[in-house]
Amino acid sequence: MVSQHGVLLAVSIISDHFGPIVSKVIRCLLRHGPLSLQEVARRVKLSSSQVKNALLVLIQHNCVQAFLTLRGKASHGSDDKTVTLYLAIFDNVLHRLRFSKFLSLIHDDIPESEVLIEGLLLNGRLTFDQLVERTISKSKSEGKTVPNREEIRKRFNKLVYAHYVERCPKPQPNFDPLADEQPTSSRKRASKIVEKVLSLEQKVVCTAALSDAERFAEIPYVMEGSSNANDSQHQSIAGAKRKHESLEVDEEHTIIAENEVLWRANFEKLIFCLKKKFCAERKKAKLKLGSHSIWEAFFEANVTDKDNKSVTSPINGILDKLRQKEGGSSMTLDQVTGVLNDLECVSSSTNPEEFAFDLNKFAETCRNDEIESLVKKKYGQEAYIILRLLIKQGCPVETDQITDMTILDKLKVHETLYKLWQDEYIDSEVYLNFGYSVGLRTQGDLLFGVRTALPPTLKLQAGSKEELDASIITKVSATGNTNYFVWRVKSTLQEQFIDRLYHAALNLRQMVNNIVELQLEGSKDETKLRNRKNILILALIRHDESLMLFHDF
Amino acid sequence: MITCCCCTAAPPPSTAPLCALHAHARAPPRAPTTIPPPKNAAPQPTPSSAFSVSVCLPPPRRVLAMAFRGRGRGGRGRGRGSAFDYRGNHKEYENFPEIKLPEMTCSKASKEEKELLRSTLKFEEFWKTSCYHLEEDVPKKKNEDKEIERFSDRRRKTHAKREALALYLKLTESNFPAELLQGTIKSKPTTNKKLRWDNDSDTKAFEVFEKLEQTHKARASSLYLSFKILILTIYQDSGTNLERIFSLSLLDGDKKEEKEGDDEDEQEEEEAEEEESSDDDYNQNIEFDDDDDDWNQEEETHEDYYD
Repeated sequence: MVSQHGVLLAVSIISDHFGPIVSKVIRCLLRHGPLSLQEVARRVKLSSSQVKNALLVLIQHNCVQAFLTLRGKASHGSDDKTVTLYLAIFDNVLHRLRFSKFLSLIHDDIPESEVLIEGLLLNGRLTFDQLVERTISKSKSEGKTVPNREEIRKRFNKLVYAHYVERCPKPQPNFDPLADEQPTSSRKRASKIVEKVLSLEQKVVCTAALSDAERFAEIPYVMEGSSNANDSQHQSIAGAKRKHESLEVDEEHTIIAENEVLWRANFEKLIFCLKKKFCAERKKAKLKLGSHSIWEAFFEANVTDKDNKSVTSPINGILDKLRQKEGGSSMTLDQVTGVLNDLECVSSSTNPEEFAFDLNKFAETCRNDEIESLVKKKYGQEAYIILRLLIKQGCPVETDQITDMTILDKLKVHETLYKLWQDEYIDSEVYLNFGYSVGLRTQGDLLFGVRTALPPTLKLQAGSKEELDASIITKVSATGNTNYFVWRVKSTLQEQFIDRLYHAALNLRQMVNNIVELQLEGSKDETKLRNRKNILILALIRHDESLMLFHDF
Repeated sequence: MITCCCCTAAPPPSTAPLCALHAHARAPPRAPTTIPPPKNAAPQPTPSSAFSVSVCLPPPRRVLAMAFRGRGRGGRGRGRGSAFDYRGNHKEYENFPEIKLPEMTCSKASKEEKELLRSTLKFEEFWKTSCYHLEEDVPKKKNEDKEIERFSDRRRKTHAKREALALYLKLTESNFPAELLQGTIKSKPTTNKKLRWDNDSDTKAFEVFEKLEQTHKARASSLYLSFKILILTIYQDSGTNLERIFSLSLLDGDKKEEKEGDDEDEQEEEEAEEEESSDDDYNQNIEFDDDDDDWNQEEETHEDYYD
């Protein structure tokens, strides 16, 4: 489930873009999970037609996915009745904050197709015909040269080939939430190996998605009649006839592909490109001077993406790109491979020619860096050291151990641990010792020794502050023995952190809306308001990178 | 954090949990543990505290007495509160203490960021005015037609009309769930209908409309002029009859609005069809007989007349 502020942020985005009715519907769906049309209408207290229009808009913009499921046992025992449920897709709602970044990606990669992807982002889903109409009308109004249909088709197919656009998923697939073991699409079979627990949203999206081949099937070209005549001269009559029939079928396919198939932007691929860009820039900031060119060459040489987790480039491609850069041609192969290994681009034993860089691992380190730097700013250097230690250890650490390992003043350690615990960065557990002497050679000993030595009932977990106080007071006074406090990073730390990020984004959006209202009222300082608004929107664009780092990368 | 004069010192061994002077709760007393509480931190109010007051400026004693008369829990500690008054450091509570602000980096945007900003604004502007932005129905007042039109009403009406949702969505079974399509009437293929697609083309559209209005005005003003002269020659008293002629034309406009109002009273399911039919009416109106045009024309002809 999405955190509280995440829901508020999503609702605020939809409210700004699509109005109050649609935002009520999406809020209902985000808070209550998948619901049927009647349920939604009942909860939001709007008329059925208003809810229908709202759902149409949300589906059009890929924020809601409908699916058919069996209704639970009806009262009269009439089962086998299916009901359509609507599920809000939180990720896609948040992606609306980044459409300008997606557009800039395409601008850098395939600039001639920028207009097409802009149309898809603005309108959610369009057929190829609609795209053509839009492109032509836009070119006319802007006074640019109007491209012909073939030209537009070529540009569009470039986008499809690069997987930036895809065919829209099925509108109403059958989905059984209880049938976890039965994979309904080929992608689910692949994910079984990884054994990642998919959320309901991810499962529904997987079910609705078309197969890869179908998703990225380009619009076929219609062969012109003149080229037909040339070809048929060289063939027998029967062959020509067969070709003519297959041509008719092809034409039909083309007509369907152009008029009826809905296309949309492929957020998966676009987010992956942003991930690559982010990792490349982040790492660049930490590099030594000589490695910059190799790092850039590595990313430029990346041609095909095998999966969403890493960037792979062949060594030949890297060397080619490197030669084009200044100072690059003088490097030997050994030097280059050495630097690549330093940069954590490893080559696998199966394919020594290719070097891969694990993006997920790097993203994880970036996430920890973000949290630690925030702690450092807020609580000081000691808190930073202690938190970093706890994250690196990954298991509970006793107080004295922390003091030893960090070589900090004992009182300072206690103070900092208390502060961090109060603000819910770390958890603590109290282990009571009834006179068992435990050799504290290593940390592993401590935990193992303490846990086996104590009767299980005496292990207390500090839930709230009052509980901890109460437990310490009663137990300490009763036993009078030493107690061990162990500390570890809270498992929900990242969730809390991302909730704060959503809260910050929500605040920024609200401030921007305030300024827009002031502008509508017509105040005196127009330029001042406009500057303020621009600064806030820029802050939101930069903040969005953190949102992506924690949620999407 | 509230720095309270009476809370900086060691807490008195009393059972009263509240600092009465400032009416915020102290943390419950802690027995010594392996983690001594931090020395300099002011105790935080526990979640169980009943209330907390943010303003800490100590009021004069008489006011204090009056202020706390009604408060049960606060009043109990009144005597103790006054005992702590003599302790130095009456630090006034500042709502916004002066702190050094970090350097603002958002005012310096790189070229790419400026481009991102521009396209973000463009996107947001598009969606706000697009057909996807569904508005709530304004509740219809019963006697709307009988109400005298006010100046503010006229200003409200001049909002750009949103296009129908059905023009942009492909409302077929293969694209949307069937139950959502039940109410909407399948729109006929509107190949002749020019869609707006983008707000940039708006300004061009309005220019076209303006040209049409101007040509109409040119035509109609000559028509009105000749008609007026005819009336003048028949009736000696020009003023009242001119007004009557113009008010008649106004009434026509009102009747057209009434018709549209009736259309809107129908259910929203027929929105697509109704939008199309009212679009035709709207197209009709472009050529003649909008309220605004009547007003403008009237002014013009008046000016012509008095020249």
